[in-house]
Amino acid sequence: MLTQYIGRRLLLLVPLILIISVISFVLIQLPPGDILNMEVLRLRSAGTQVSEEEVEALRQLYGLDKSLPEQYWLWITNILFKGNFGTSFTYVKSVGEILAARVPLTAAVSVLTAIFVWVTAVPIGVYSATHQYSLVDYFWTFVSFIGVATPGFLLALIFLWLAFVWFDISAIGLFSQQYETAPWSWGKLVNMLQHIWIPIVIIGMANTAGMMRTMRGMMLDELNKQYVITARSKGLTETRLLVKYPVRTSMNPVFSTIGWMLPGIISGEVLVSMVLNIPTTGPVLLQALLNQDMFLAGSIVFILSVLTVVGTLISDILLVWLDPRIRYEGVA
Amino acid sequence: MRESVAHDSLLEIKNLMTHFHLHEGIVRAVDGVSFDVRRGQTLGIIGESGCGKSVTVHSILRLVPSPPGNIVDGQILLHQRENGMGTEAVDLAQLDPRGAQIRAIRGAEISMVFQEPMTSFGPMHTIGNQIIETILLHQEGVESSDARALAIDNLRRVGIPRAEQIVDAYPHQLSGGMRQRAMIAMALSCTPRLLIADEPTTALDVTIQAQILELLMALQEEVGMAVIFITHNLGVIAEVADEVAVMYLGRIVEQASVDELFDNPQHPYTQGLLNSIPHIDEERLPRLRAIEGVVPDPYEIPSGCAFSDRCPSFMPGTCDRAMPDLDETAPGHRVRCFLYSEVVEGLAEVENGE
Repeated sequence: MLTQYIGRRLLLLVPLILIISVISFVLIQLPPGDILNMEVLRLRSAGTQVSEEEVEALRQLYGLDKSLPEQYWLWITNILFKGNFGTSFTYVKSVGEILAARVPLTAAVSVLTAIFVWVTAVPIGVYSATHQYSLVDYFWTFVSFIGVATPGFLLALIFLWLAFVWFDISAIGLFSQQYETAPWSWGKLVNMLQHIWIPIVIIGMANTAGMMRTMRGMMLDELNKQYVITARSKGLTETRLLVKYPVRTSMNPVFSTIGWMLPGIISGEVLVSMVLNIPTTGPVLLQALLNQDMFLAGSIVFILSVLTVVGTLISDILLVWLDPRIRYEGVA
Repeated sequence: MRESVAHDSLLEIKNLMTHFHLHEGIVRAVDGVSFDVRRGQTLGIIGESGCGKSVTVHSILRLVPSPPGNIVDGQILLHQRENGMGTEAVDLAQLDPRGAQIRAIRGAEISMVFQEPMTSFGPMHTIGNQIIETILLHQEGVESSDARALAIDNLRRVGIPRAEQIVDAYPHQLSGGMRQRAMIAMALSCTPRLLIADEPTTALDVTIQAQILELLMALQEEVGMAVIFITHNLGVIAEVADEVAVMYLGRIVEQASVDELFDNPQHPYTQGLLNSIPHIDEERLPRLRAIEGVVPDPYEIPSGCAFSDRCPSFMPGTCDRAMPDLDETAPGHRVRCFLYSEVVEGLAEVENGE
């Protein structure tokens, strides 16, 4: 039954991704002008003579002279059959190359952030719920309101300033200067780990705060349910019954967010990454959009959307697998 | 205070007081309740919603959430299994509600069946898993493979068909009646000596109710356990109970054997309850005879007898000045009412008397 469900969902994925690709492509084409106009403007303002013939040659080279459906067809077939996302005009590199350099670090930041969020938010949420209206509960409620209400980039700025004023350290970037361009080594890894917790805490803050509230609310609902009292009346210890029954039931929102992680792995937190100068893909996307770097921006948007869809699917499958109520009723 | 307890008592509750300390004030949910449960017998507790019957039995297993609930006074003596000559009594009211001692009693010596079969099982685990959990918790030396067989036996005993398949079913896959059967199977899996049934049939439809009642009585005979049966349904109580206690606002107002109580109800509240049952065989169907008034707000209980503001036999100057004692009016029949007890001189002194 589960395999059937997964199979059906995978089939549905095909038309969905095709539609997404069309939308990504159209979105990228929407702004007036194209990358060549920008490029020609730049060259001319730099004093270089660019003849109409040369522009036309470039246009042909990049396939910009073709009709939009043709351009789309070229773009999507290249991605699907050759794994070729095209070339970035601004970086003068293949899109694949640019992403390959940044995706691993982005993924590291995202995955570690997610782990940080779960490891902190779930226990705190559970504790707050089981000790509702205690001092500790009020404390974390206060912290989580601040966490939810403060934008990540502002938090990053405050953090940078405090780190500089109090400890006289620069919390910018993922590496110290001597490792920035160095090839990977043990020392570089250690150096990264020393830096990476800063963006993790800052990016994770808002999510942790939100997840804490969700977990607390879910737990409060579950704690009053009859089955918790039943479990207690059987003679289970408090910890064991909490973990086995209400916590387990409250975990659904946590499992659903696993899916959202996937797009996050690529996008990173754009603004926080800009402020902290972390080499993730987020800033690249922003720059690409500003420059109308069509292939780069389109590819990132497309990849993000596909990952969102795939992530949601993974979440759904996880939920079906974990929650018998969904398994037997939702999947009929 | 009371005549000495016969040796066949399993559970003795003496002057139990469970109060809830809320922002609005103190709610005396259970305010001086005393009763005995004898081995193999069924005690029925009856009363309107909010009369403290559930809190009373939750206090026995120490399941009253604290805060805000606290047992402020009284004893709950559980006479443990005989060892040699005498029996050893544990005062459950003195135990740590999270301690090992009460946990060893819960589910093993005293187990409970609840009102809501829909939500009584955890939704994420199979019925079998939850029964096996209880068995492994309390029965030493039982392997998990044996526990599964025991769980299936228990399910079969409560009349669940295809027990070897149902054991792997999730709660939401069963009907309310089946779930309540499974609940009973779980409660009986460790052969308790006392089963507390907290309105076990209230949420079920009438045909299923009858089946569950029959099942409970048959199992009681088979296992030889005592039962405390809580309900607000007089018909059910007449069917199952040996002894009945009627509760009103945290106190027992009348207690007698089931026949005595139905033949000779003495407290005006009990009489009101019995009168309010509609009789279909009457020649001309009269209006429903409800008890006048409503249950008072827990923060504004009338002074004197708590029932005085709704009582048809209200005696001004007496009932509103003191709480009557629970006095024996006939052998084994106790009533808390000034109609039957000597009016004590100097009533002011017995204020809050118990």
